[in-house]
Amino acid sequence: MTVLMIISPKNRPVFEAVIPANSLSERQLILSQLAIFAALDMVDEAMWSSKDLYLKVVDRFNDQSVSAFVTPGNHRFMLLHDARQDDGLKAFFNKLYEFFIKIALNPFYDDEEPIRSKAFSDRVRHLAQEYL
Amino acid sequence: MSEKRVTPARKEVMESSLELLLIEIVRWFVYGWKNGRDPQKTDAGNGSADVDQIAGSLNRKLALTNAVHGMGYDVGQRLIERLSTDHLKMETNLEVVKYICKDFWEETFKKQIDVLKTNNKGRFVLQDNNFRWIRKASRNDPSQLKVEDFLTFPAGIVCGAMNRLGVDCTVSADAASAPMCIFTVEIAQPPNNSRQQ
Repeated sequence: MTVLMIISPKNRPVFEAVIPANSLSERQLILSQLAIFAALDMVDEAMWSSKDLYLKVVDRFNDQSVSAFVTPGNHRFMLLHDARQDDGLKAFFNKLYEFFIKIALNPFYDDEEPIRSKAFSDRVRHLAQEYL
Repeated sequence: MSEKRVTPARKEVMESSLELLLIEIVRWFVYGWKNGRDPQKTDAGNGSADVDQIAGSLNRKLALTNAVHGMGYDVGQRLIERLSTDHLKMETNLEVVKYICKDFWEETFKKQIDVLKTNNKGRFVLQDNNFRWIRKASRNDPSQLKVEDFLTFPAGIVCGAMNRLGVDCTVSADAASAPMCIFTVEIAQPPNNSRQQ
């Protein structure tokens, strides 16, 4: 059970996905969101120490860990996942980044707006099933 | 499901069509969109028409700066998202400017910036000795269009690109000796900046 969130440069959540879908109760979902937002501080620290875009595990929450990927435009892709699942994450984040660039290139997409495209969320789920 | 390529193959467009589009954008804003005809071709009217034309042209210059600069800003942001994928993080303002001068300029304008100067207080001067988009502009055309007008779009691109990389700035362009042109980037200096100079 993993939760993916994309957070914009001005700290607004732009996209959220729970994989597999609907497997979390309301309370668990809110707790996961809290864990991810709390990890943002760790991301802010970690991103200056490494020149890489992929910061591996930045924080832990109960038995899960939070991994992060920061784009040059300061969008953060945060993934809350089980502790042992961090093998293919770099490839997952890179592919996710490519999908995200396609959305960003859309002239009708305003900055900081939530991503509502069904195609994007389908692709993300498909990608998650492959890698996670 | 068949394996689809995630990044589509680079499509190519004739560069001349890009240049013509940019020229027409500037002309459209300068001459106004109500009647897109050159002032020389409209009837030489009475005095009031001339005054109207002057006031109109001032407004249009403003519209040109705002709208075209804004268009460039959006394009610059998207270009940066696309082009900076493989690049490692840029930690200082200087690294951002160097990235713009080298990789970004190379991808967008097919060459690198020739001279970069700074006064170490947030002002960078980028000089391109043969700016691609205005190489073919005539210099002493008596019409209302000046070469600087054609530089608002590239200035907007640079502004958008730098803002997307986290550097708040304003960009102005100067084409006193075209095709050599100078872009001046002024970075807003906050009282305590986490990013060093």
